[in-house]
Parts: sequence; structure tokens; C-alpha cells
Amino acid sequence: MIEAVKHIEKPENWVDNYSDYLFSFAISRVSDREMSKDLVQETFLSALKAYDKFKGNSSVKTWLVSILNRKIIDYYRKNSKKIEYNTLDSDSPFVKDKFLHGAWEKERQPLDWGMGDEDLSGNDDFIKVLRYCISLLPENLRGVFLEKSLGEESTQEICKEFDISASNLWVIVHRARLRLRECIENGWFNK
Amino acid sequence: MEKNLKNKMMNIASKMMLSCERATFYVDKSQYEPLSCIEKFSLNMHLATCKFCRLYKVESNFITTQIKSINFITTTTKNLTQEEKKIIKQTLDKQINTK
Repeated sequence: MIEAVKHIEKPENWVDNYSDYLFSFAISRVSDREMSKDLVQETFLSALKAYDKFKGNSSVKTWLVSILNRKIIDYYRKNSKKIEYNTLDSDSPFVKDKFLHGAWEKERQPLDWGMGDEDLSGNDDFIKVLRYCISLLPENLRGVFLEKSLGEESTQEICKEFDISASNLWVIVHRARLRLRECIENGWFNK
Repeated sequence: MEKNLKNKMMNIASKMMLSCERATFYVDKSQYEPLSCIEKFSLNMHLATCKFCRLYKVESNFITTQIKSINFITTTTKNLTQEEKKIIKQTLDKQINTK
């Protein structure tokens, strides 16, 4: 049975069968076309090397995605070796002075998106702005944020992969979402 | 006037308990997992009096509902071209043959 599956899923057919899927997965995570292309190619090469060990417990597709995901995490880890949590704070929209510490800076308070008036869900332009704003996130925030928001892994697993503590993870996710919200507001609502 | 003052006092008291920075932190965390009772309580206290954090919550919720749709982008411009696929295929074939 496994041999039969393996026969259909011969490495020669991988590019035809899976490259589009893997590429769209990669580009949603790294927001860079060339980098995504390289990651897909590297995934195929690594998969080929490990093919003998592939037991067929999961589909080839799932297996390839897991290899790709590992490569994406490695890419982010390499590019954000020193996550300095103090510098993450530099763009905070909150007051840093003692007086009113932690309140919204006046010019950066959230505006009403008026979502009652207009149904934005599934709006292509909104998704475009969202994707653009994600691509603007600094890499030390983007990797963890996307893994947490799009991936299936638990908080614990992500912490292990990125070698961070759980409280670091929540700070990173929070900082990413603060930036994202503000970017969307500037890009979409103040056109 | 008296009501206004009372509102102001309430405002100050609640913000002393949880800053906007902290409140939005909990809003974001709650997008992924349930908060503890104390976290939930202090967040709700804050939201009751803070218009901006209420807006933040609505918008954060909305971002959560939309973010999944970027997971797999399959528009034609985002696909690999035939040429690019051919190159990957050649690289892969080379590896297969040297195996």
C-alpha cells in the first residue's frame, strides 16, 4: 500500500503536484517572492534526501509542508537572532512618561472603523492592505506572529522552535498586532 | 456637572487598575486563548470606561477573522511561472540522478 502511494508520489512529480501549494504557503509567511521560491526549492531538495525515511504516515503534501515550515522558522530565527525586547518597544503607541503611563498617545488613539456601515469581510482591497501591512512588520515580530496566527502549533511548540519564553511570545504577538492595526488604519481608512 | 465629575473619577480609577497598554495586551492575548478570571475582570473594567480600547477590541477581533484568509494566496501573479518551475525541476532531477 505504502509502496503504491510512493509510486504515484514519485519525486519527479513533486514540482508539478505541489510547487504551487508550497509556494503560496511560503509567500504567505515570508512576504518575499524570491525568498519563497528558494525555500520551495530547498524543501524539495531536503525532502529528496530524507525520502527514504518517509514512512507514509502522512500524505506527501503534509510532509512537504512540515519541511517547508521548518525552513521558514529557520529563516526567521537566523534573521532575528537577537530579539531585543527593549527595542520592540520603540514604536509603542502608548505614553511613556510617568504621568498617564500606558495610556494611548493622543495622535495614535484608534479611530472608529465604522464597521457597522460597511461589511469589510472578504473585501479584496482590505486583504491587500492587510497583506501589505504584514509584509511591513519587522522580521523579529513577523515570524512568531504568523506562526501563532496561521499555524496549528501550540504556544509551547512555537516557543521551543523560536527559543523564546511564553511571555516573550505574547509581547511579540501584541507588538505585531498593535503595528498591524495602526498600519491598516493609515492605509485603509485615511486613504 | 456632578455626573461629569463622577465619570471622570471612574475613568481615572479604572485606568489606575489597568493601563491601555496592558488592556490591549489582554485583548490581543484573548484572540488566541481564554484569559484568566482576574485578567478578564480587569479588562472588562477597563473597557467599560475606555472608548479607545473598546475600538481596539473590535478592530483586533476583525483582524483575527480576516487573517486566516491570507494563509494560502493563490492568485495567478503569486504563482511560480512555468520557467521557474522548470528550473526547480531541473535542480531536483539532477539530485535524483546523482542519487
